[in-house]
Amino acid sequence: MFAYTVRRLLDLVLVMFGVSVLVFLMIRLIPGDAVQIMLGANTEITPDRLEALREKLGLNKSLPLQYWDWLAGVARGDLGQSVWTGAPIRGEILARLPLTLELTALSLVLGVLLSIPVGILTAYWRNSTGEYVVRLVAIAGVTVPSFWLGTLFIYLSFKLWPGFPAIGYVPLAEDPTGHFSRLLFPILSLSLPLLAGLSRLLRSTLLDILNQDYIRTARAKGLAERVVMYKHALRNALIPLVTVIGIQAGYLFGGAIVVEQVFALPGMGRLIVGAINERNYPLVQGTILLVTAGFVFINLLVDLAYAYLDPRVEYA
Amino acid sequence: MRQMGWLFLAVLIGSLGWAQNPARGGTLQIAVDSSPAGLDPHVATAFATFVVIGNIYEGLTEIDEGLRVRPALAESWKVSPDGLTYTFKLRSGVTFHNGQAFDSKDVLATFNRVRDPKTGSPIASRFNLVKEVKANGPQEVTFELSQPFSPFLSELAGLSIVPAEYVAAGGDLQRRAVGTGPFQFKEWVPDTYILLERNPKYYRQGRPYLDALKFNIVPDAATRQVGVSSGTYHFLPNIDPSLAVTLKNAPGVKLYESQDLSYSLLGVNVTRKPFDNPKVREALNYAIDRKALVQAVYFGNGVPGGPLSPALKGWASPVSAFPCYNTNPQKARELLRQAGYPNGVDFTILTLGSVKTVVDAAQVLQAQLAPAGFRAKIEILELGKFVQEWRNSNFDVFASLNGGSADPDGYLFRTFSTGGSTNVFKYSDPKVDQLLNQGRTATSADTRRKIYAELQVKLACQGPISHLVYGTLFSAARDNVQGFKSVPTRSLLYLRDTWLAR
Repeated sequence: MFAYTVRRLLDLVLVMFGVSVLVFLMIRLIPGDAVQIMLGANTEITPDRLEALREKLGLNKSLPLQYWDWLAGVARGDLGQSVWTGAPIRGEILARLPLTLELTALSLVLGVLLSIPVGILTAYWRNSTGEYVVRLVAIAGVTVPSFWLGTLFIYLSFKLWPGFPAIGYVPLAEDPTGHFSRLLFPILSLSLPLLAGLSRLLRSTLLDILNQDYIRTARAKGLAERVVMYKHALRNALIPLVTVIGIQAGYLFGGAIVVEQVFALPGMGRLIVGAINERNYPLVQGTILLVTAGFVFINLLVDLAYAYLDPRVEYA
Repeated sequence: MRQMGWLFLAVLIGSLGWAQNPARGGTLQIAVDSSPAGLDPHVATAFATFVVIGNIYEGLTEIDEGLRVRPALAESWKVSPDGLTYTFKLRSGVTFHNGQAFDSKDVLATFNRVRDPKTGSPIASRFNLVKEVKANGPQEVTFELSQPFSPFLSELAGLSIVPAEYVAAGGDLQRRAVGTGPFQFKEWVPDTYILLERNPKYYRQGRPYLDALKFNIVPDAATRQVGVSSGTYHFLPNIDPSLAVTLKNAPGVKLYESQDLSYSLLGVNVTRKPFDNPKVREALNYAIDRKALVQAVYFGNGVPGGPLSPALKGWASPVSAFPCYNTNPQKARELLRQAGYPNGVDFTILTLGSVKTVVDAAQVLQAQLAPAGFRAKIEILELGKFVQEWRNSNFDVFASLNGGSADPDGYLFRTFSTGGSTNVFKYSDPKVDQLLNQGRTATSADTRRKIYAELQVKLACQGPISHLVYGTLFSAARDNVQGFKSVPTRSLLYLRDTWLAR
């Protein structure tokens, strides 16, 4: 187990190196650099002044040199500076990360916690009218994208309760009530599609398992239905769920990018989108590197969680 | 009896609510769509930056709602009869937001900073004709020009004066703006808001009325719309025509409007076939139905226009002066035949994807042009790609939205003169060059008017740009926002006169 963990951590380092090269090259392959974007179309600048700006921002160095400078900085824990304002990137990320973590964590917890009872109940009551209704809602939930759901929530809250503070951002320390009331709809927009997907998965896995021989045996030897369900069926059904939760956590982050846009929340998503639009190279590199690290790390946790949930899995 | 009359008039005006007294205080909640990349007034060109720093900085002059040049940091000026020497008397008792007093050394420092190639300032080329700047004591500055340059006073409005000591000491203008304007920089929380506070030492008596301006950065249009409808935001500056239509009947919301200087356009590359032929360019104009564009793209809120915005009253020629503005697909086909393209022409329109109006216009144009034999393919590009192709003149035709300028020379010279800084069309016409030079050096307004009238006719039909529509410029505000005036240049100059009624 220990050796396995170490090997996976080494893999992680290798993956991160590959990502650093990829993200460095990809953002530079998009046409238009920071100077051109900033000046926009129809700007009266002479070519020599354009070059002067590039030089000022360090954009005219050779690519390997720029990469090396950046990598050396990252190794020292220095992610560099924002192209135009010169603000340290570490500070920019630290200012935004908590909100996005809060948003994704709360959405994940809400989605997962609700998906278990919904999954169990729909598996139990399969083919009843109530289950059809829940299923319909769930399918709708899987198909509807979170940004549309977000816009819908904003409109509905405005029509039904115009005074409700649904837009903008208030720091937790300033006003906890205002903070959470503004996060309510973003969290719902993110967790509802998650809830729908997870509960549908749990339902079908449970239905498979409930038809297995060992469940029949358990029932035949007179175990209470509650014990059959929780001890024998649910525990096994959780294994595919954990895998999917790991992947979904990554997608939640992607969803957060869009939801932050809709609700005007200053999280990592806005930071990344803004950085890409401005061709703020070091900022794009730093943020993407960090997000990838998070994604890879969560996958590691998922793999390790298997060992706990499924004793048949061995790590050599 | 006469006194009774006056009394009656006073009561009448009072009852109409015109004489309502401005109230002091309050924070104006403004919602804007994007965050500025940086705040340096001599480097930034983006509207996202100017909407904010326009309240912090001032120039020697300013452009008002009628596009007239007004004194700002310069109290008055004298122009020598030969048009080569401009002497400005500076306003006294003005201080920068950091407490430094404003005088002639700041004007000199600002000018040198813009002209320094290391600054990389895009506006430097506007002052190419300035030979020398001199201070005659702390309250007077003289600009010597190498040739007469009539738009000079208007161009000075775009030169934000920065504090000499602050810049010399290495002050970071990208992150902290320090000016003399009605509001001072307070706080910038990235992607959340930029907060400006009232400048208590502002030299205009009693102004500004508001305690603060808060620019909330709200990227989603639907969210901004609900935000102003619900009262979360007070003010949405310079909104899309489609959003204006949605908000027109929203309760509690009103629209400020003026004629925009910006225009939608098709630009062609005159070094590529078939648009190297002036007849083809003329045919293109005959094929366009501008009135239909106004309806379909601007929802009726705009006017067809030529090379100059109708907001430039007294300068802009009416469209009746341009024969090719009478839509006529048959005539277009005939011109194409004469140019040697009896079967029509194929080309690609590179479309600026970041502006909705432009994308809409390109699609309507594609349909309009087809019957005349112009078979267009539309390629919608992200801003970065668009700017790159634009700057490298790598296009047959492009569709975009351009800003204009308060003086005809500002826009026409850089766009149509041979080698002009935004002449990406590679257009070159000796007659046009000659007229452009006469236009900027002539000192009599009447002579200039005649020159620009001739230029407009020449450029409208066979120039490298098909000017399409000048939209109505809308800003949306809550009902209790008072005193604001919309300016065609899109500047928010009159936020200094704006107040919130209780």
